[in-house]
Amino acid sequence: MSGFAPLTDEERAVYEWQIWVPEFGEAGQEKLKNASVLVSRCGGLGSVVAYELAAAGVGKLVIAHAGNVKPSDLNRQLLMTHDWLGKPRVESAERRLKELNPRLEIVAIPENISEENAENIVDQVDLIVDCAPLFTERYAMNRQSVLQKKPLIECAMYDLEAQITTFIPDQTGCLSCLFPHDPPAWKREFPVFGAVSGTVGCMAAMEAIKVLSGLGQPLTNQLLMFDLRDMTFQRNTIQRRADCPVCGK
Amino acid sequence: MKIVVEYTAQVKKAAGLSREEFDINEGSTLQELVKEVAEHHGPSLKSILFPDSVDLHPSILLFVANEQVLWEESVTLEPHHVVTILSPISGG
Repeated sequence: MSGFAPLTDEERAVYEWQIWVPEFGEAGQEKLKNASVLVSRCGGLGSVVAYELAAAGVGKLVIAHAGNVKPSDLNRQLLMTHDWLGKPRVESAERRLKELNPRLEIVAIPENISEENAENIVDQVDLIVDCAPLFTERYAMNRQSVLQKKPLIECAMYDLEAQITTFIPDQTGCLSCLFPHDPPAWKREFPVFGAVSGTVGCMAAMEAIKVLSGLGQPLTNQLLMFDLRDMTFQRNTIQRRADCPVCGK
Repeated sequence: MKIVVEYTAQVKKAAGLSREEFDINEGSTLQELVKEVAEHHGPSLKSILFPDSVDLHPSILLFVANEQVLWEESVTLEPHHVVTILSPISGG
């Protein structure tokens, strides 16, 4: 974004409750207003991430998601609606986000991230939230995160479990340090509840807000994993690989 | 000595449970334990952990007492250790 836009009186009123948060305040809200975030894709995770970031007053969202809304999206993809079945997902997402926050600037891209488009799309934002199901998409975003020095928040889910971590170039490792190769048993379609993707999606949105505004301590060099089946939460230290082909020296 | 082993995601599905105890010899290493886990549960878990039969798949993560341990690192287990075997997952 060019220039630094101060808050309007309307924005002070809308964001009053979060401006009250200690160490955030108007300065934090202004940082969100002047920030841009890529959310890819806008499925179970990305819908909630984008919705929370729109609600929080992030100034610009770039959302990338191919395909049309299917019935099986509707248990968790909260930006998709029954009346949009058979129509482009990214249009449904844009429409719902604009309803929530008409001040939001949205770039809606009807494509999934790939090695071909990642450089240009990542170049448009300050931070990336990776909500993609396929490791090829995730590795493409990770590579650009490292090359363009943009923070990358990684969130994932399966069944009633979820994982989340935050990578910051030069301060942490990267996705390829954590998972060097496509995992052997991963399939694009898997069992999950919308309440699970919603839980970790909210956490990812909070991580994005923290990194953009400087609030709190991001989940760097640690992997939070939890299982809502028995409500166990674990925070594990993760390593940077010196021989990583993406971020290693 | 008894060591608690925890599983996540597809590893949990293949093992058929989320945690169990293994009785291993004093001085056993993490690598020895993980190989024993794979043998104990048979082909469904072994094919995820050791697809080439020798080395752990690099995207299967190991944690001992909440610290990541790489497969090539030698760690001797102690009785209070909890070992977690993590399978990567994604969005969707």
